[in-house]
Amino acid sequence: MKSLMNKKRELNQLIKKFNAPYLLQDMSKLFISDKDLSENSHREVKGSKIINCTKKFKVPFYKKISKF
Amino acid sequence: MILVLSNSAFESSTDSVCDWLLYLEANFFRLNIDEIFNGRYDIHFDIVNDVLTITDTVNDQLLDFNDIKIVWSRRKSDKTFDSIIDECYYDSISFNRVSFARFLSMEKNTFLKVLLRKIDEHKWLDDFENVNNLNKIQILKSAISVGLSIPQTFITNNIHNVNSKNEFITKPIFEAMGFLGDGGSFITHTKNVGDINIKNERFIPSLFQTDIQKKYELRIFYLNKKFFAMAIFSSENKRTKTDFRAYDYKKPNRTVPYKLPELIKNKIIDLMTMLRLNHGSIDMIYTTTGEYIFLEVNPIGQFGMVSYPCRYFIEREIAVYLNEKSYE
Repeated sequence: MKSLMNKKRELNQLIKKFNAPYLLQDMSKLFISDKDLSENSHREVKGSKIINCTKKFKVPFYKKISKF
Repeated sequence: MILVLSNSAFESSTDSVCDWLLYLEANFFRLNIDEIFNGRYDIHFDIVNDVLTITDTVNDQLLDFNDIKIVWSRRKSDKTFDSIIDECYYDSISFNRVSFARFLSMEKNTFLKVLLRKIDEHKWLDDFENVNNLNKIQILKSAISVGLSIPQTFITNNIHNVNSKNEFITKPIFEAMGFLGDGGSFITHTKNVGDINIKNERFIPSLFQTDIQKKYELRIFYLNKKFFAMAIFSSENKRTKTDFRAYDYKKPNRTVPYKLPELIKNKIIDLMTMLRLNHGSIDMIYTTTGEYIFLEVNPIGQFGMVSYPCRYFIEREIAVYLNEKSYE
């Protein structure tokens, strides 16, 4: 299993190797934490917060926001 | 017959429009692209005799392509490639997995193109191939030609061509994308050039625009010369200042219904006519100096984010429009 840190390293290697667009050259500026990424994390329901949604949900979620 | 092209999940706006179509007792068929390949529909296309039949086995409903009067397309391509690659979330991506994903995705999407092209261009609310062929730069050029103001925009592969870095933003030429990271994601929202630390002077050609000082952003849903505009007060929030899509859910931007000047409306009508679009989501900026600056049109942009806070009932407007067209 590849760790998430390896994913970041892999991305940085790809960016360097293929000289990605300017926007990708500094990945740290594009980072949004899981906590801030999910609308559901902050939605109040009957006085209690919804438990952070699963990672599985978040993958399609950030793909959807690209269409906004 | 109205044909609604969508997906089976994460399509709340499509669901709402279908609710209104049911309320209007409209004759419609919802074809979920992702379910074309999972066995929900019986499909038979006799190429020689040019006869295509699709039966929804869940609702026991037959789609006769000759009965289609209008098509509303929310989704029109298969996402097999993404879903196969997504499975690699916890393991390494092999060459064969990527090749298999590409092959299956191309097979399905080529079939979808054959299927959808059976419907005449004039029967689409917006023809799918016309929508596919549009791009950000072409739209900006069209905007200039109808008299709309746009930011200074250029594509370059050399940082030395961006004179004053803090006065420019950069964004994808195509559209935003997300990548997985540790405890979050890397998302290619619009960024100020000055915020990006870069070692290379050269990179692949990238899109740059002047960083417009905005009073507020405008998100406008357009449907057949009708406007549903919303002002987004994003400029005071550090997080949403450059791009309101970097949502701050803890302290959401204030959004209010907005009345556009007739001059701007007329120019947008000219633009949408030139682009052969009957509907779409338009992004604009109202500057601190009182100018309207056009940014882009997304032909399949989300509209729930405008409809709900502004109480426009856009879903009902779409359903009524489709229903009227299905009787023409």
